[in-house]
Amino acid sequence: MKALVYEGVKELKVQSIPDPEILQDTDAIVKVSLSSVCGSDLHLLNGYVPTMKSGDVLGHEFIGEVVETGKKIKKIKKGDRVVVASVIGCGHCHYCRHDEWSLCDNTNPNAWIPEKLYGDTTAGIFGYSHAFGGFAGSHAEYIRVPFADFGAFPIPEGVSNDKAVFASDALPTGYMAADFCDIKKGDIVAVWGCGGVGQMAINSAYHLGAERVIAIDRIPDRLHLAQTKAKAEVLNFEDTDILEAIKEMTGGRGPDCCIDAVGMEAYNNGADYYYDKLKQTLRLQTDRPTALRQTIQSCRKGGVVSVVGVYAGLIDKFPMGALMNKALTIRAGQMHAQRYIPHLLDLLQQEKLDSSYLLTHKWDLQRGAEGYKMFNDKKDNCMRVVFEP
Amino acid sequence: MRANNILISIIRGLFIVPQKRNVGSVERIASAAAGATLTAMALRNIRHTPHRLIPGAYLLWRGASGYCPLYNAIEADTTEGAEAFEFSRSFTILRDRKDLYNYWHDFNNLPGIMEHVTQVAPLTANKYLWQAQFNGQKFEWQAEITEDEEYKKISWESVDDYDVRNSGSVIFSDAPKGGTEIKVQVKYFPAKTKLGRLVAKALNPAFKQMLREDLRNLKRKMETNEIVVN
Ligand SMILES: NC(=O)c1ccc[n+]([C@@H]2O[C@H](COP(=O)([O-])OP(=O)(O)OC[C@H]3O[C@@H](n4cnc5c(N)ncnc54)[C@H](O)[C@@H]3O)[C@@H](O)[C@H]2O)c1
Ligand SMILES: [Zn+2]
Ligand SMILES: [Zn+2]
Repeated sequence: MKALVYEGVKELKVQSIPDPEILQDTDAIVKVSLSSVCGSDLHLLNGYVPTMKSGDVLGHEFIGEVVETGKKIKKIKKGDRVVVASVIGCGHCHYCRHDEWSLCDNTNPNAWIPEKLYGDTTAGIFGYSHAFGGFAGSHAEYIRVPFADFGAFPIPEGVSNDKAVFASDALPTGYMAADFCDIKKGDIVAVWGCGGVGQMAINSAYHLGAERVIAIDRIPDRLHLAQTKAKAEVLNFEDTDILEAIKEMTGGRGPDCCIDAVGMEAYNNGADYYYDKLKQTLRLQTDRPTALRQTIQSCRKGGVVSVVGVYAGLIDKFPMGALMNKALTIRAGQMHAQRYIPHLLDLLQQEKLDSSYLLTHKWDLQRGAEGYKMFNDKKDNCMRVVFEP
Repeated sequence: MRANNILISIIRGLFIVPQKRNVGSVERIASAAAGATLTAMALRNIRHTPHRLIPGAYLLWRGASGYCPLYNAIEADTTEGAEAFEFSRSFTILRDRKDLYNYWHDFNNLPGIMEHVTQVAPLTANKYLWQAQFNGQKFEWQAEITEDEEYKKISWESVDDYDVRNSGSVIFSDAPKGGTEIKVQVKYFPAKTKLGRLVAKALNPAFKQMLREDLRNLKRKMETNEIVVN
């Protein structure tokens, strides 16, 4: 079959590779119909998450049709149109049973790597480096879905493919970010990053009762969508002093909740960007935490900082003093897709949330490398390019 | 890097006592690698060991065995007693103590979670013959059950006429929030030389890692009935 394969830092190529097979009785094979890029892929592609190998297939945000099921599959069947959670959960361990699917004990064949890095294992994730299991990703004609009874969800009628594909990753991530904020009446939420994840966080924050949402980015078309589609008040960090502006917009208090939907490749026009970039290049720190620092600095006393932007390793100049003395709560994680997907599919069906506007480009998989370049460079108003294998 | 080859070399270096250098038979190496300790050592996972460790230990061994003077120098100084190396690893598994005990106690199950162990066959009521295959080579050894407390504890010890004495136990206890805490303790006695001790010391983390991976497989198997593959 055809697949978009990682060949090295910033190098992708469409290749012909063997079709996946059922390897365990709880597997299913899904014929991919749509497979999206995600900001997380950029961290891999740009070389900031180690343990990528030449030949790895990228992609973790996808929908498709079940074409084969293992002997023990009970809940889904051949022919089902399904959205698949980007994180793989076994459904049986302590964490899966407590709806903390991305913490699954049993789905990472390379559990020893995160155990070394982080002190314990994390769940496997499709197409997301060997530290997260070395599973083949979805930028291919077919994909093997382990523990498919727990990870693949039939898409209800009335939910289009263009909406459903983001229920795999961007939507549950944004929703979890807002859920972490424990939003109460009158709360103001600020969201750093207006990519797919940030957009979904803004929408979700309103859905969960936020009074106002402030969104921060520098890409004009993304800010425009945050404003028009998600109804956020927007700030461009390239021409605004963000800390000042946010204080002014919140009566001098600061937002009740600050969401980091940027992650380890944050950009900024101040000196600290170059400081962080240099340190990252020299591998003195692995991640650039500009946005994260701002969330902590801006947040009102006693507020919540919700981190769904991905960090892989170490950061520098973490404002621990602000966190401690303002008594902030910090919540973070890869998202627990399986916890949210059924509810989100309902919300999409009832049109209480919209995710389809994230899809700005639908391309043949053949143009995969070009698509990633456009997405990485934030060109052509690209929010998310989705491939049709 | 052919990790398994290197590992076998290391195990040779580690376990074959100098007086018996010519013995080198597969059984002895196996006994080395072995005992039910090998619980610990399904070599499959050696490639998962931190790279720093293996080459270090390997070079140590190679340097020592390749150059006679050095080897002799090290070997000459064999006054130290055989001090045991010990390590343990605990896992919490969301299954009843009884189920876990029963699973472990049926030694036929162990090859299923220890990839390189091909068979565990009873010789007498308490004695088992272990067979394993590492890197195309077959090994076997014997181990004896020394303690068996239903649903609580199983202990074993390698049978005497092997170079390496080793022993271990697995303890099952209820976890506070459900499930079972399983703890495996392993003790082994390396060759009575400084070299043996040095190499053993260097390799200790690798053995721990192997024990961890086998217990992880047990957890996967008992919780999901699968050992996940990518
Ligand atoms: N936790 C999870 O499970 C999960 C799931 C999906 C994505 N993610 C992560 O979420 C983050 C966003 O993903 P995405 O797909 O939206 O990525 P994206 O690359 O499309 O968007 C990131 C946005 O952040 C903006 N940005 C950069 N620096 C900034 C700064 N200093 N302040 C404000 N905005 C800044 C960029 O301009 C860009 O628009 C990534 O780190 C990704 O890895 C996490
Ligand atoms: Zn993602
Ligand atoms: Zn699990």
